[in-house]
Amino acid sequence: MLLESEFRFDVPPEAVYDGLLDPEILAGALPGTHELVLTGEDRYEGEMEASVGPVTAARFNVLVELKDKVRPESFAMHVDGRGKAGFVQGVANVELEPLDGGTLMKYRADLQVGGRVASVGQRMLDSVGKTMSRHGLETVNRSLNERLAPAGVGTEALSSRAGGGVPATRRRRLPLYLVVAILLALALVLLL
Amino acid sequence: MLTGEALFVDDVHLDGMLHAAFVRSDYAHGILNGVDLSAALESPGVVAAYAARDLGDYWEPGPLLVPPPPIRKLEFHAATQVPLARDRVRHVGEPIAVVVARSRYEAEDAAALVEVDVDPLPPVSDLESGLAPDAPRIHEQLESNLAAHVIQEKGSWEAAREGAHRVIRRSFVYDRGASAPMENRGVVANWDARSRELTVWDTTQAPIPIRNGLAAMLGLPQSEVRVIAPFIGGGFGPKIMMFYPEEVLIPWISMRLGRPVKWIEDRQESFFATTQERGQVHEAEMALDEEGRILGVRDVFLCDTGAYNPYGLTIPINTQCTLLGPYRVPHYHTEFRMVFTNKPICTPVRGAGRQHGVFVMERLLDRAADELGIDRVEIRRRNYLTPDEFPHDHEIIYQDFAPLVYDSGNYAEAMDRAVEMIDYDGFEAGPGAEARSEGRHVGLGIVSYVEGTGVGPYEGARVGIEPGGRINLVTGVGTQGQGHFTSFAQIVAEQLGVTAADVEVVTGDTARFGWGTGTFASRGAVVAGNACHAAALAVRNKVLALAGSVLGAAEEDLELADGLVRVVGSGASISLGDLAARANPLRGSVTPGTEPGLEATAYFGPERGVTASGVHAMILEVDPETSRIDIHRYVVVHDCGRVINPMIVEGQIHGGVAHGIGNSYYEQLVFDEGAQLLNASFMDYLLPTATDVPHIETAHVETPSPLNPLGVKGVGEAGAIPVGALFAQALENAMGIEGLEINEMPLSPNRLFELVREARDRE
Repeated sequence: MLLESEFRFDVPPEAVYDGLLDPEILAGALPGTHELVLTGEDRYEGEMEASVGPVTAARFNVLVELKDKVRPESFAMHVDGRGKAGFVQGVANVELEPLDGGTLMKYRADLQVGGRVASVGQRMLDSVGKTMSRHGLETVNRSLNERLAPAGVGTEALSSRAGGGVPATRRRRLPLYLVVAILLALALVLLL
Repeated sequence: MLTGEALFVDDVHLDGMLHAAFVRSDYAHGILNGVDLSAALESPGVVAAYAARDLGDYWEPGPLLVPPPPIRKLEFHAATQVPLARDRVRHVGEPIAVVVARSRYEAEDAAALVEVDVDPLPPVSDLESGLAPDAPRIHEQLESNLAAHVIQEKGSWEAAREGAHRVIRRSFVYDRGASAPMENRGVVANWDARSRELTVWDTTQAPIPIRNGLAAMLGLPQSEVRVIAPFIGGGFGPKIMMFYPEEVLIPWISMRLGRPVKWIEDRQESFFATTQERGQVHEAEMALDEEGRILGVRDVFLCDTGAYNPYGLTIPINTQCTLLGPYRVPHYHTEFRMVFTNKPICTPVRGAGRQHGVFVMERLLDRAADELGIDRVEIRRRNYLTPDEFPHDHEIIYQDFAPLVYDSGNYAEAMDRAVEMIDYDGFEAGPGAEARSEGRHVGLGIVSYVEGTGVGPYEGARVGIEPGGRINLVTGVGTQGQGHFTSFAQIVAEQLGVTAADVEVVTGDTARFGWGTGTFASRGAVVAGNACHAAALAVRNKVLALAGSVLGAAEEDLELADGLVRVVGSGASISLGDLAARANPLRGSVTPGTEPGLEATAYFGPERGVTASGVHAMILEVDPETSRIDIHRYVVVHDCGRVINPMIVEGQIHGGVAHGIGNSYYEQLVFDEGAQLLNASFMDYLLPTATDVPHIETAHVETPSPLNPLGVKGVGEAGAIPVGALFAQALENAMGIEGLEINEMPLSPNRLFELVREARDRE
């Protein structure tokens, strides 16, 4: 599967580059990520979940390695995701160019998808791939905007939810009082 | 008709029966580092789980089912499938582990917990690049991915080309399809240690070879293994004696656990784990004289065997031999390379390589007709072998290792009948012109083919008459819906003067009959049918001899009718049942050498296969907006020698045509560059439905085969074989675009749309 597209960030290439190499933000670029941790230099491991047509909520163990890094112009992302429903493997080449104070990102991902995801999900794969990468990048853009702007405690959580891909590392940092408040609210709604 | 009374493998329920589920490779090619069964073994309901290393000595590559025929300078490299992948995975869906549990549900859940560690390798998904020097090597023990290289020659192609008025040259592609039987595969095995009997219910077309093979693998005498191929919902080739991993493992597991074990293939597994067919790429040339007579043909092709080649060279040799069709071809060079790829295994599927040959030949003739300005029916007539040219030796070797010699046929007569039925002569000026004037795209196609059928080595049958008068017929071939119960009963009934309903037929149970090979190559009626005939004849002779002495009449004066033996003219008679009782005296003495009962076993083995043939014609309409098609008429004129039962012959043709229509315009297994199958479900893999298959008009030409007493030829695959070539011609005719050439199969509405657009762009 070939995914090739462009995306515009509001922040300059340096910020985008650093942001994409930050596991917290990178997790946002890989939607459905439950966990992504830095396990070595330029090496991230984690778990993500995806639904492709009839293959629902398939979990993958993901290994992401960054190579050929040229700050702030380009890098390559080697992805190896494996799960019960199949695998995703390949390289995404990312190029960043300054554009009107922001960044134009060009990416080309050549992915081999295999197993059940490919054999019964193929019809949906292309559109799911496109949707996932767009959502992911929008989330990253929002995170970068927030990072560069002073962010309030609550808005951070809410805005990442809206982005669709919630980095687990980020979610875990929700203040305890907020979690309790949400749970209480939920319990009340259910009881009523 | 399904009444719910027949026993299919999935209907077998035994006390204490366990269920197996397989863990299969997601990767098309990779190094298998390890398999961790520990989590699966702890899963609820799990009784056992095995990976390759747990099989010990039982782990062995499967048998080479068909050794290469004696062709000079033939190169062949065998690599057969393994029960469970051990060091390497070679296609998606290859089994890696098996989990056995109280229920299939629990087995599947546990199978999902098996951890498989694979380092992916680059896969081979394409035939040309698979042979490149730097291609990833699939079998490390071989030097390359070349599975075979075979050249067969008749006369001198070079000479034919030099003397030619015109040489036509084209490339052709025929891609893969599934056999898609209604019933998937299944195996139930039960080892009874007390009676020392292993019973295996198996959806196989060849129960006797499976019995023999399992006995050898498991170290049991053949007498302790009983293989039953009960009713089977469609075979179409892949259910032949494959020794599939599941077929070999389920009996072994049953013996190990001392429990009955069942595995039923699910539809998704079937797309990977059941063999497939068709992938070939041809470069072909035809040399012709000014009158359109064929001087010679040269065809060089690549043939996909998938990850393993247990079925040897049957498919490509069928292609080589079937290409010649009903035509006189003085010079022929045919050469193929069989290539290992990281795709599921290829073995024969209804047609078994014949489609490709017919496609190449018929397409070349269509191009020759265009270029030489000769009518497409006329160019075929000019090249047909005539009835006085039989037997006709094509001087190459066929799949049965015998020379390709056509026994009989009348090709021009079949063409005349088809031309008349479809009104070929009136079409252009009539419906064709009318459609064009209305802006509709209606086209006619008409093509010929032959089919080598009824190959050896042999089959057997036993016929017996019980004291109650019941006639028993037992034969070794399996049955998958071909109507054997009717056809074989008819053959026996005719000899014994009873009705077909009086004959009880048993097939596919090795405990009842243990000699034979199986149901394949359109050979049931020819080989098993003639064995039934021979056994019935032997019983008839016993009946006549005994009745003659009982009734005090000469054998010539006796007739068998209505279940009786009668003395013609006198009215004295005895029933077959009474005669059977007398044939088994329980007191007194008999003449030394007397055999008891009215029973006989006989075998039939032809010296070589018999040549069936036919003409298919159709009129179809293409919707130029959607490329959807509507088949207005479909005509088949077929010659399968003497027709035993017209309804069964027609049923076979109808089923074959439906299969052919699927292979031409609906069904295609689509693989990506990583050899991943992208349409492994009926959501995406399109089968033709009842509304896509038209009413089929049939007629028969009967040229009895001189090679067997019944004079019959096979018909099981006939319907499927020429359909691709027919579609291509009819679609070109319907679209009426100068540059539109259809040189590939299968098509789809999408693909036709693209081809039409490309042709229009060129115009």
